[in-house]
Amino acid sequence: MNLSNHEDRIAAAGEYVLRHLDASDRKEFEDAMAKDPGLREEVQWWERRTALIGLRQIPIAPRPMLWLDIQHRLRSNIASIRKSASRTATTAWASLATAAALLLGVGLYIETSKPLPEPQVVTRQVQVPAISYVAMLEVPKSSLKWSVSVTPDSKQLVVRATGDVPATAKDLDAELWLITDAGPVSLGVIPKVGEERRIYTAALAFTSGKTLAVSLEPRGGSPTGQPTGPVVSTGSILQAG
Amino acid sequence: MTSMPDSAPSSDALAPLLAASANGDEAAFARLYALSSPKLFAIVVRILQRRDWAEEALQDVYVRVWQKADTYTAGRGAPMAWLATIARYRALDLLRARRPEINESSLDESQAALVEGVESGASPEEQAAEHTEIGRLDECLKVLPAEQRQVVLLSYYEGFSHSELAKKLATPLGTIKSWTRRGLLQLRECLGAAA
Repeated sequence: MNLSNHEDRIAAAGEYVLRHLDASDRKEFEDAMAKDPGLREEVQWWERRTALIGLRQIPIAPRPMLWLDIQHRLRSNIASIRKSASRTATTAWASLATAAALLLGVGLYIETSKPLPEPQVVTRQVQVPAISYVAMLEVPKSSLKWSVSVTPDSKQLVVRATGDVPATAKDLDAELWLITDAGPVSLGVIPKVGEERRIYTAALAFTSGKTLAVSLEPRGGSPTGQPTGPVVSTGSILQAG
Repeated sequence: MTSMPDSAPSSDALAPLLAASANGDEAAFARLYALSSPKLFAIVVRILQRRDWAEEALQDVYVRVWQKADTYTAGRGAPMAWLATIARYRALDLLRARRPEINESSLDESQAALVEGVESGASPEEQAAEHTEIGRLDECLKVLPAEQRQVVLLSYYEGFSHSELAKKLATPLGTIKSWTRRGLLQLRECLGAAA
């Protein structure tokens, strides 16, 4: 590859950005770029200009659930990075989560004589671009988690459980609660496996900052209308806009 | 909450969010996602043409953006352009890994549409500054001879290399190389004034 004159450099950088270069030329160009800041600037010039081609597309909103998947991947990623204890941003993320838990007053910690594996209050804060409210409810020390999404316009509540059900939860039902100023209000028993959609008719406002919780209850749900079993997960609801 | 998610985010809004994300601010990152994901999703959908692949690509993109937010500088262009570049590269990598080897074959419908001229599809309510830049790019693409415009756009959305383009367009490799070089230099000259 000839990179001796100005035109060659411009053209090669453009070809690199557009992915015209075949494997060997590509490698050669990358090696040259590593030693040549001017060439890198040419590449960035093409990246800036060609990006406009893609930005001409009419925007398409991704499904709200996609953001939950991304958050989950970031967290898994952070967990593995944290083991090597090297990145400030990851610690910042963790402390932000803690701070958010305090700020939002997530004091929901129901004492129980039969605690599940170390019940802890973990606040999960999520936000999506569509007209939905979502929350992620993870069960500490377990792969089980629920993603909850409410779309007020269509009055739809979607709960999706993923991961393995811990042995301690096998014979119990999971019940979802919305924490209001007047205390927890049941949103019903939710699946421990798979997805369930239902109409959300409760006259309860799903608003950002509010907290959802999941408790383990006898089959059929809490007999008292209040959580009676251990709270295994909480998460705060957020709405984006 | 009922506003359309495609209102064009300005660099003014995105740059501080990227900076905060680089410092591990989850809420800022969520906001960045809310503002930018419809545009990036449109790009990866256009490239991959399959919703499931596009969703996978979009996830990869934002994981990468979170990890690389600290490498963004104003020199990389507007934040949206930087994000769009990451999205395009990721989608092309996925496409390359998944699609069968390129054989001589006629262009499919969407590829042919690229050749017809500059694609329709720019949303009219694009933010003014971006719109101006896009308009300029359109003008510069339009003055290219058809075959040069074709190789530029096919590569943007398909990531075809020189030899793949030669097969796809049943045209000698030397001719393809000459088209792309001339096309790019002319584009550069046309856009250069606005650099």
